[in-house]
Amino acid sequence: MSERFEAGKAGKGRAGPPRLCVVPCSGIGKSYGSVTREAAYVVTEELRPEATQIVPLSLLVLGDADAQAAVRAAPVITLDGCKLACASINVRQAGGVVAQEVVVLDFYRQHRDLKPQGIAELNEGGLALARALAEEIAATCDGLEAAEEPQHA
Amino acid sequence: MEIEFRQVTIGKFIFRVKVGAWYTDEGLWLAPQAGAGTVRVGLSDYRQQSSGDAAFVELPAVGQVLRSGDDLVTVETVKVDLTVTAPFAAEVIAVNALLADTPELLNQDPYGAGWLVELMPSTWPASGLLTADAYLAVMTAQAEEASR
Repeated sequence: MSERFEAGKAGKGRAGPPRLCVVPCSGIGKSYGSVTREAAYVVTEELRPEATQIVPLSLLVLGDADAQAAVRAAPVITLDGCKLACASINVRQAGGVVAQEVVVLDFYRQHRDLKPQGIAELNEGGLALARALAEEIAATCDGLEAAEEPQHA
Repeated sequence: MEIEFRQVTIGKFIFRVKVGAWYTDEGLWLAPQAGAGTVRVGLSDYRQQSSGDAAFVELPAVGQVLRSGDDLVTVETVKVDLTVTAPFAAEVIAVNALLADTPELLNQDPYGAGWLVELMPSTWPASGLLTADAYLAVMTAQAEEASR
């Protein structure tokens, strides 16, 4: 099993394996793709580090076996930067289950005051949009985890 | 009736031009509405593709009277903030209210459900408009220049 992605085993410093994968857009050159990556980092490193891990879309596109195994082993939240929806499409092609699809443009339409600009370095609006998106993803993670918990009589 | 298009492929992009409409060299299409005296206005396929996915569209008020060149519609896309100006003096007769909640129509169906406004021109035909074939040539040159 992968040392890079933890699919089905306890990871370093974790009580158990990551229960959810986050796959952001890998597009370079657009602010909206950068927002997805920033949001993914906030979720996996800050808000829900125990429960989530990033799987890079570029590895799925390349057919990386470890990345494919990771998305097959846990529900996936995809973060797409545009309507081409490369993250969602490639997760499904790898045999993964997309539990939640997020298109950042749709999210931005609900937060017009947070206009993202910049690419290598997002502006203040872009960072704030990424933070808001991350918080929504974290809430989605909680909902997915609650739904997967065993029901007791 | 089936809508006829001209199209050109530049790089990996295919751009369509609807036959039967008039065009400006800035990428507006203009379709006179039979019997109404009004002209429906939208963005050409090339203009919408080169502008990117629309996030917000702001439309004028119905009844607004515009001079040629006045600001008509603003479109915020993932790439640009686009201001569409009135191609001729006119009164705004109708706007496509669907764009407020579904601005993506502008990208999905630029010659149909993604229309912007309907205008009553002060004079028609307006000067300087292009046929579909003439616009195709202008647009092709613009797209080739942009791809360099």
